[in-house]
Amino acid sequence: MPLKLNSFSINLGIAIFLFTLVAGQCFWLFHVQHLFLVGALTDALCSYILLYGIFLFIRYSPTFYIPKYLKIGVIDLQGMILTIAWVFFCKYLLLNIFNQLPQYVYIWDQTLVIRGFVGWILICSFIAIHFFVTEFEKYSAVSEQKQATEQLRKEAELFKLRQQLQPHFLFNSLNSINALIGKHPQDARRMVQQLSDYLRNNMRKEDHERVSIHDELSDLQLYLGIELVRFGHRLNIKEHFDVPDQERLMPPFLIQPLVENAIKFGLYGTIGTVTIEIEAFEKNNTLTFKICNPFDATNVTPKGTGFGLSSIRRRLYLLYARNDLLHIEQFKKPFEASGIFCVRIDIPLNNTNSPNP
Amino acid sequence: MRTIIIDDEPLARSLLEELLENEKDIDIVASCNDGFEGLKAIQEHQPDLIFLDIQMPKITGFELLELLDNPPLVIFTTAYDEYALKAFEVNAMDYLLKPFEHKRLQQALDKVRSQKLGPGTHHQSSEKPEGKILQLPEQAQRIVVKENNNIKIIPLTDVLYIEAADDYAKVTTAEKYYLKHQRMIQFEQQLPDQQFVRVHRSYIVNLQHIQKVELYEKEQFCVILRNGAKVPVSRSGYAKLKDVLGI
Repeated sequence: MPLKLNSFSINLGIAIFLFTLVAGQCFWLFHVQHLFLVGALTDALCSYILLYGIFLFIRYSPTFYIPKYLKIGVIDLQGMILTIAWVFFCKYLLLNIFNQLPQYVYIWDQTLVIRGFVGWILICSFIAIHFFVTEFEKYSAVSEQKQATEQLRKEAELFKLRQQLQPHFLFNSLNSINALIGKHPQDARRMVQQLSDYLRNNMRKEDHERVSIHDELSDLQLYLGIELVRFGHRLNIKEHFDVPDQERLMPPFLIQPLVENAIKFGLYGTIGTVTIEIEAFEKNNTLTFKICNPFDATNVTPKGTGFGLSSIRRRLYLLYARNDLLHIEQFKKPFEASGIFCVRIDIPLNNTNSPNP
Repeated sequence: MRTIIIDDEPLARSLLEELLENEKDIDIVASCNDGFEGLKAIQEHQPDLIFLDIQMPKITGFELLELLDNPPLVIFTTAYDEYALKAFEVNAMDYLLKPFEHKRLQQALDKVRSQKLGPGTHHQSSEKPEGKILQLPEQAQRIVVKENNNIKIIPLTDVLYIEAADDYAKVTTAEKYYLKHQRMIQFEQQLPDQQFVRVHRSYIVNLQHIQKVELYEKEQFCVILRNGAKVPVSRSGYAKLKDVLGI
């Protein structure tokens, strides 16, 4: 909303409005009621300065009650009380200033009702304005906060994406290469190749551009190859891919984090051999990708491991506006500590995106 | 020096073994794949020095270290640079970032050797580095203890309170308690502070198990837990408790 309420301009506007009223009342007392000029001016000035004081009280007093919903009755009553206070305080003050001048006392008796009526209308309107301004301020504070949290969320997401490059993965892989160089230089050379292909492909991928299923699966092979060099002593990978048309397009960064998650979960959550089962098939224009890893129920794994899944769920939602594409299953026999943890995602494949129909 | 390497990547272990081959005073007595094997090997061989990875299956290197009553000298070898301060806190001799240079390894070994010659020179001489110590996410979820030489992982939700007992701490759950060689201040730093409050010099209490806070003497409070246990609360502990509970 471009409208911006500035509290200084509100106050100024009201002051100007009241000065107009001062002039009006002064003119009226002088011409119609035939009060002498100084008297009329003092009367008008004092009255409206006091009224302005009441306005300031309404606006800034923390004790002033704002009706939850605009209730005419409440405002009327509040206005009435404040008006009575205003009129009587004015009268007391002004009569004392003019030493109970008989002509002036007479004018006061004549104008009491009209003054009260005008004051009442002014105060009621001001309470109404005050109510709307307060509501508006509340509203804009909330929307500002919303924007700030949105901004924070975006920053967090960017940070997360950068983290996804996984410096630990990179450094540990380099360390493995370092180890291979001495005794198995051929293997070292092959791993350097795998690692650079994997990194290059990953960097080239853009978040919003689709890639072919074939590219995505071959990047997965590269990644798995590296992990097998590092953890081959306890990592087993069983793959079953059944996707006839691998030229069809899918969004990147969906399969990869899923596999990373499963391997991390499996390797760090259990002791002994870890078998990761990966399955991919296409049916009814949907690519289904399923991955299973063992887990240890006695283990207390940090919540961070579930974080990977929630970000994939979020990404699927952003891509397809659907919440039903990610499924989690756990299989555990009673009285056994270890079980199998499976995640399945269904990726809708768009026909029009396919370059080779 | 009897030395044990604990790392969950065989290649990383073989690299270290290779680099240590030429160091005549280093005798590698065991090479372990995880903290469980590591604990057994340490108890069996009583090594002088261990090379320890941080991220390992089931328990982290730091958690393994906490289980040792008389820990040997430790050199961390890891790809994670964010835990260097925490390593300093547990008096590690050095912190090698993978992949590391041969020269860097030799520097670390020189530190170990001078420590062996004149104990105490390393620990006191180094000034405390600045910065916030980053705790491992695992340790915000669980406490690892030793039970008859087996490793037991206790979820924090099961812990009722922790009580100081000389050099040890009694980690108390509903069923039993476990002794752990760890100072209260370390627990206080590691545990999530919205869940655990140090209510007394000798007590840290799990807020989710508190049933009520009671006045049991003049100006002296205590906490009654769901299982009926009574935990004393000091004056400053009461202030903290009030703050966290928002009363």
